[in-house]
Amino acid sequence: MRLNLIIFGLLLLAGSNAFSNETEGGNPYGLTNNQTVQATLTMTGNVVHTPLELFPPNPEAEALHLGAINPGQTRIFATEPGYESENFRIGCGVKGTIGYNVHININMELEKDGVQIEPKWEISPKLMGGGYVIMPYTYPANSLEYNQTIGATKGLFVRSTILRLTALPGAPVGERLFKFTLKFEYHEI
Amino acid sequence: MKNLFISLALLVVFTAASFAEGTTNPYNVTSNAPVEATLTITGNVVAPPIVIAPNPQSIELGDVAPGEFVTFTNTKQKTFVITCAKGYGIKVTGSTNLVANKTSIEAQVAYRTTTEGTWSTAVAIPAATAAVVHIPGTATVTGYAEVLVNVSKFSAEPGAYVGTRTFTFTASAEYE
Repeated sequence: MRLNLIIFGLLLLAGSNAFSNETEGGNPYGLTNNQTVQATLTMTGNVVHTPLELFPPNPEAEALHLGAINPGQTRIFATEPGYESENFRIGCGVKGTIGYNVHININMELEKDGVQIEPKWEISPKLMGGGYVIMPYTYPANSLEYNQTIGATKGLFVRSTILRLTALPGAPVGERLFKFTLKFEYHEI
Repeated sequence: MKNLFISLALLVVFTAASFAEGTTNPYNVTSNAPVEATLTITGNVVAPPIVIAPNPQSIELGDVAPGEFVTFTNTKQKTFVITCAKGYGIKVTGSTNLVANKTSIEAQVAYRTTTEGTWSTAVAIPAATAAVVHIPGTATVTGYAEVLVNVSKFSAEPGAYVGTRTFTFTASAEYE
């Protein structure tokens, strides 16, 4: 009798396990109805910029003629800011990428064979259209470093106005050629 | 004589045992007692898992110059196909970084429930995690839906550094 009860109990247990397995097998997903799944979309793009390009393309062709002067004489082309003659102004710009900072390096020849010039340097964040500010420069330093961010016209412009021309006493007669060399490069602020 | 007593004793024991078994009635039945049987049949309704495919996906937006932008007319888009339980509503929650290092994108999302169906009105993908589409249960009788992600604009601010930017749209779908 007791043995029968034990055997019956074992069968019951086995049966319940069998039912349990069957139930799991009938629900292969094992889900609740608020399970979430995720998807991912990656979007990539590149920021590219244009290299700096001189404007006008060949500034060496530009020349400024200061006229004649006698030894021991000084010619003043401007006395007040804003009244400088455009006849004694020369400039060079670069086309570049808007918002980028450009480092400007200027090397100047300020004296040649007893003749001296005094320039004033200005810069605009525009390629054309003004908005010039005077670059901090103390004459007679023959080099100038400056940083400028390129503005909305995708370029900047640097110009020099010759304020004064001086021929020292005894300066030999003849033509003088003064060169300004401007170097532009992108530069991190 | 001794054997006789032993025989009588055994007889008494067996007889008693026999009576003892005879008095046990393990079935306790009467001749017309009814018996009943019960069979319980059970089944489960299960929601199959939502499947989004293909996943993951990517879009190449191309180049843009600082201070410039490029626009796209249905050329930079991907579709996620959702399979789900029929008749269930689905909520798709998504977010993306719309800005990355001085660049930005504009993107929208829409859905439809058949391959040739009409797209829902596109909504802008928000930067913060929020529901981007609610696909109603009545519309998912097919157990199928498509979610379209469209990028319409890629912009770079002035001064944005050269390089690759990555925008990641992450969406999660769940029954609702």
